[in-house]
Amino acid sequence: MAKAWKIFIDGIWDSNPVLRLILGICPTLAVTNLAFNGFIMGISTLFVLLASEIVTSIIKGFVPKKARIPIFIVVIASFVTIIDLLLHAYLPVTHKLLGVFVPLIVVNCIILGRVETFSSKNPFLLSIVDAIGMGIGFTLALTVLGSIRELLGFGAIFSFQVAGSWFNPLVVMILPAGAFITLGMLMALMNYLDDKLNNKLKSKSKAQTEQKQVTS
Amino acid sequence: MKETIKIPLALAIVCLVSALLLSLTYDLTRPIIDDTDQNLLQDQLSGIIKAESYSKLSDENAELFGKLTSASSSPPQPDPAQSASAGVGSLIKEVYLAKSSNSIAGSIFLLSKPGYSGDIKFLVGFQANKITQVSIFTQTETPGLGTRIEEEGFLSQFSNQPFTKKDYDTITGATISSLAVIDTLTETIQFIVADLSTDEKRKLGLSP
Repeated sequence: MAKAWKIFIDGIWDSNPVLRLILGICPTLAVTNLAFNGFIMGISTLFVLLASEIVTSIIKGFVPKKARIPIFIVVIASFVTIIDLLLHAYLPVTHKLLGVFVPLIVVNCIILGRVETFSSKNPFLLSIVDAIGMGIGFTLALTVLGSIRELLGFGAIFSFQVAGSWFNPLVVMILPAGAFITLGMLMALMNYLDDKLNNKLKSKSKAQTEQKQVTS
Repeated sequence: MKETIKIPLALAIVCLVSALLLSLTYDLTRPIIDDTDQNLLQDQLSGIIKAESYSKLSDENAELFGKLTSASSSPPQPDPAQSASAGVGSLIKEVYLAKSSNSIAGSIFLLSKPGYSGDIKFLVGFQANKITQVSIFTQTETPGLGTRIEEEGFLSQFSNQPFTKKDYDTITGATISSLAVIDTLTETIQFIVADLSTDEKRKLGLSP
């Protein structure tokens, strides 16, 4: 249980796919000019990741090592196509909203990356936890990135106009250059916070061991 | 099992299962998707010109449809190769006749032009000698910039405009996307006004 929790948190913070593992950067930069787009892309990727990790974890015993990459890609691409068809048939409005984003998920390195490093080598239940953790981490990173870019580039967040007419939007934020800059800043901020958190934990455990030495 | 047998066998099995699942899903969803697309189209058409029924010009009057879609630009381009390929006819993808009580109320043109990324397909309704409305059909423009051609602020400027109006506003930061719509629209109107006979115009629900 503790192992499962660790894996889950890992996908959100320590091994955040976008900000730590630096995976799936192409769709990240492409769809984060609006907070809503980033959010929807994250959720869709979460579903594909979950389905792919579940299936690959189940079939891992039958997959010969040398044929694993093409087999994984067939699995991932099949899921994306099936999800795309089901969306088009049963949720046409959402499908139109997602538009070209769904096929983009196939080339998202996070999916193949996690399948290769985790679900093909780990039990079924832990693979589910990993998929959910990574998916949420991805969604959070994309939503935050999208929110910053939309705020500075349009003065809005989730299409809700926040800044008034005095606001002079930074158009660069909506363009790829702005995406790179924002991503870099976000990574730097995360590293800084992580350092501070680690120092706090270190000094806390140091104080605890000192206390033990004193009382013993 | 030898590796030379195991590897292709594993690949074959995975591909077989995948193909099976995909074809099953496709068969299941294809009729629903076609139905949904038809309904979406009907809704969009009725939003442009309200009518009892819509029929394709390609079904009703193949000759006129052929003439429309094979038209070349008027005025003729200096470069003949450009004139042939950039013909206004290539912009017209479909024409729907809006019919009420068996008379043609107007026609809705499905026009297509390359935008910033990919083609922009949009519907425009013509009635008497006016544009009724423009609505975007499909586009894959840059989210937040080119996609603004779907906004009311941009599209409403076309509503109820006479054929004579030529200057429309583009969207700041989305010049290519908005010009794709505006230029295609004005070019098609110019062609209709100049190159169609009175009888042909009547057949499209337009005034001579």
